[in-house]
Amino acid sequence: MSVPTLTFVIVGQEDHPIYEVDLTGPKEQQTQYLHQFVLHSSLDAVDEQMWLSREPHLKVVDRFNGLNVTAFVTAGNTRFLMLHDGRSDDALRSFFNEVYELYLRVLLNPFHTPTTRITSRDFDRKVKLLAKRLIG
Amino acid sequence: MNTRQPPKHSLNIVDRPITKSRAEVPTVSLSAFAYLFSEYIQYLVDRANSITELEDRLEKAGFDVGIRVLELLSYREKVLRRKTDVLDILRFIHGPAWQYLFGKTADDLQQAANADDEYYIRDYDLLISRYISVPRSYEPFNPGTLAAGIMRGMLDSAGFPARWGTGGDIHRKLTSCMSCMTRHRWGTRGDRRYRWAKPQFRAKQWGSDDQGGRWRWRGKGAEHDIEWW
Repeated sequence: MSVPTLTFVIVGQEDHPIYEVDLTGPKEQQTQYLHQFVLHSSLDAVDEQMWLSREPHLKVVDRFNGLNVTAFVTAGNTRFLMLHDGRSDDALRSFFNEVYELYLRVLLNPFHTPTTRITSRDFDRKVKLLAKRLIG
Repeated sequence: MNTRQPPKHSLNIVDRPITKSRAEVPTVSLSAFAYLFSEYIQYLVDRANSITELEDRLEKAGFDVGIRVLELLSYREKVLRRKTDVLDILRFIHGPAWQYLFGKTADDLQQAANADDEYYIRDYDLLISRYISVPRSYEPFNPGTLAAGIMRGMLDSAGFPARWGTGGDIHRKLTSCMSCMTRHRWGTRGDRRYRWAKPQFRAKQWGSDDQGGRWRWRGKGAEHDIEWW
């Protein structure tokens, strides 16, 4: 497929997805399901590597059919997952760092329960802007 | 039409900056906190049916705080590193977290002699309960449960789920591997005529007595005029 793939998911404590966005624009149903499936099945691999390393950035943790999953784990064990087709690691790193800051601001809201979805439109908008700026 | 910078309180949550450096951390005066805490405990006392329920609710409040404190403090550290080992997280709680919350590191961190999955974190003069006296009818209650909840929140979100129990001291047990206990030494305040959760300060009294009237509190670095009824 020559269609670029870039899907971002934030997974919380009970393995619930808290936030997901497809950063290259809407796609047809089949590919959406496939992306979701690949991301969630890579959670096992993330879990394994999470406890082995202290670094929040885990590089590519899982591969499927030409798609890679890169992960970033925060101190509170919230996992940021990015499904991509071979983007540069540095770009992803800077993206994760910026999104981490945004996520922290949403989390600090005392009215936000950490296990519920993030529905803030501003957060959504900013994530999309960041992706456009940093990953292209 | 020129666009002005919107005032800070109207910035939405993702635009407001997080202070990254330690020097600019905003602080709250102890007297204000103690007042708020006493009101919160009174609020819970009205709603709880038993002392255990009261402690549970207070602990839940601390739990939410703990989750956020862990993330925020990890963000502020110079090198972002996660804690994969339970001793790491306990040392983190004992050191930087306690320092951030209460202004000093906790007094002690040790492993229990009898069970190798219990750990103690001691603080002999817990800041939040410094100005609280518990009447004898509520004797098993320990307002340090809030701190226990904060600890459990941090442990839980880091992946070390903790159970907690009651006793003369507040303790939490971590599943399968370990538990923590905070001990607070009680300062007995003797007999007080008014409701038990009022903050006690060096207070100068004007006018009438403690049944009502105005007091001037001299808390730590702050002065407030508070009216009690």
